[in-house]
Amino acid sequence: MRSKKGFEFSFSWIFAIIVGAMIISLAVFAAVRAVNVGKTATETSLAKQFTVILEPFETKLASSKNPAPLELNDEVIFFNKCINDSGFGSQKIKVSLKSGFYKGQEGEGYEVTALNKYIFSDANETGKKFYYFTKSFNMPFKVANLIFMTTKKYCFVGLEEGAIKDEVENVKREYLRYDSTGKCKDDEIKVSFPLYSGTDWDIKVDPNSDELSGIVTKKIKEGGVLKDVKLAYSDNLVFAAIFSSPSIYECNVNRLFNRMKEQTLIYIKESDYLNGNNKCNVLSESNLIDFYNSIGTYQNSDANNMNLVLQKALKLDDDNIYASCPLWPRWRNT
Amino acid sequence: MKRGQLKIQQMAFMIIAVFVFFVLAGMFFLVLQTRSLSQDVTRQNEEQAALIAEVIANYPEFSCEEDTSYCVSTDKIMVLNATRYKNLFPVSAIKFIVLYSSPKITDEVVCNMSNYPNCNVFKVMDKKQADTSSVGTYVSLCRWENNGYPQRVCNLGRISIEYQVKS
Repeated sequence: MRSKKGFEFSFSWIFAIIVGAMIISLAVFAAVRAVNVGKTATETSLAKQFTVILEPFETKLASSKNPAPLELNDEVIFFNKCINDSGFGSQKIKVSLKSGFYKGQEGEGYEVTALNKYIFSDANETGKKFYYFTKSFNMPFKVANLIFMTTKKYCFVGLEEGAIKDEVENVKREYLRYDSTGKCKDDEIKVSFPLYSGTDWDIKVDPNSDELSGIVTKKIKEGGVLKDVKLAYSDNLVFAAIFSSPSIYECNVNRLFNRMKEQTLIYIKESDYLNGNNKCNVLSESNLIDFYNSIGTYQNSDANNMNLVLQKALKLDDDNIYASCPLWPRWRNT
Repeated sequence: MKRGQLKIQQMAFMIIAVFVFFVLAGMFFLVLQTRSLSQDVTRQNEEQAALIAEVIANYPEFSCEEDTSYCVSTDKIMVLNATRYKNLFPVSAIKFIVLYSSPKITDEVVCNMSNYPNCNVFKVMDKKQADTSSVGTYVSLCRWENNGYPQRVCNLGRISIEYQVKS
């Protein structure tokens, strides 16, 4: 029996509501997916732009002492991962947008691989303004340019007269300053050099007597416990050790030594070709082979091995300059 | 057919039409998105290739022994292990081409140890990728010669960097 008071739903209404709901939920799902795809595409494109922008900094042509920072419209997390494989290794860069239109959304863009770059930064850098500068790494010939990138501010204390003090004092950088009183601001990372006697440092640099090499000690929090991590450096790697996570530093230094080994092979073959064909007298193959063998001993920031390679490099630089045709420009005057 | 049944049929057709419209609109949107993404990738590849062309002459593996810019040592290119360097650069191919030399070589002669320096194309790497385009810049291509005394011989050359075009 039909109720006369009840509201009657015809079949067409029920059909329209069910199918309509399905279409609307499909449209909502598609819109959400489109936004997610848009976010991933923007983040991946941003990561690629990081590698493209840094391309000229691989050579001395663009190694400005104080390049303008990379300023983004939105806050991002920059993920830096270093891979040291049998070749020259690589760096995997990934970006995640944290503010703006995509604020609050999970996930990050796809990784972009940088094969020919050595970016020294923390494993995760968060910010809108990315400061960076470059320095070449020579041992004794130029191996590559090192790119230092950070979003943090650093305060150097206790600097002795020398190349690092000149670098910090002469080039005015927003994120790097020297404080002769030893007092740094709360938001700054305190980098202590030998003339500073306090113990309230975050990073400590202990140069060797040759002023070319030394040890950088970093206070790293691991599982809630503060631990001292020691990193051996030589030449401009001191900045690399200061600005990057220990894992990124170790991995990139291994990559640099692999590249150096391959470059030494080029010089060995070039020496063989030029000397063998009487084109010009260059450094002998045996000197270069000896250097090549010493590079093979280097592993993971081992101070002894790094010093051994450094001493051989200094000797090789002297021998090279006295040949009729030097294979590379003079590195250091001893 | 009853009037009610006819209405249901009408509505069913209407719903199918709306559904097909949404699917077509979605596909159109996806095609536009993919095309713009492909264009972005190609533009970034081109930008990167152009920057690499600008700076590659100053890479330690190619640069002349002296501290000079835009000078490539062909002696170094000849001894470089191309297989090892194949993956160092994010481009499809790298070539150095001698544009003017004396005596002039008219045909394209790829350099190897047996014909060097009487050749005009130095192939550093080639990933043999399809759909590529190229950008380039001019450099000095220099080598050591001994004419009674060591002498630097330089020719005008061009760097050609090939990159992949996404279609």
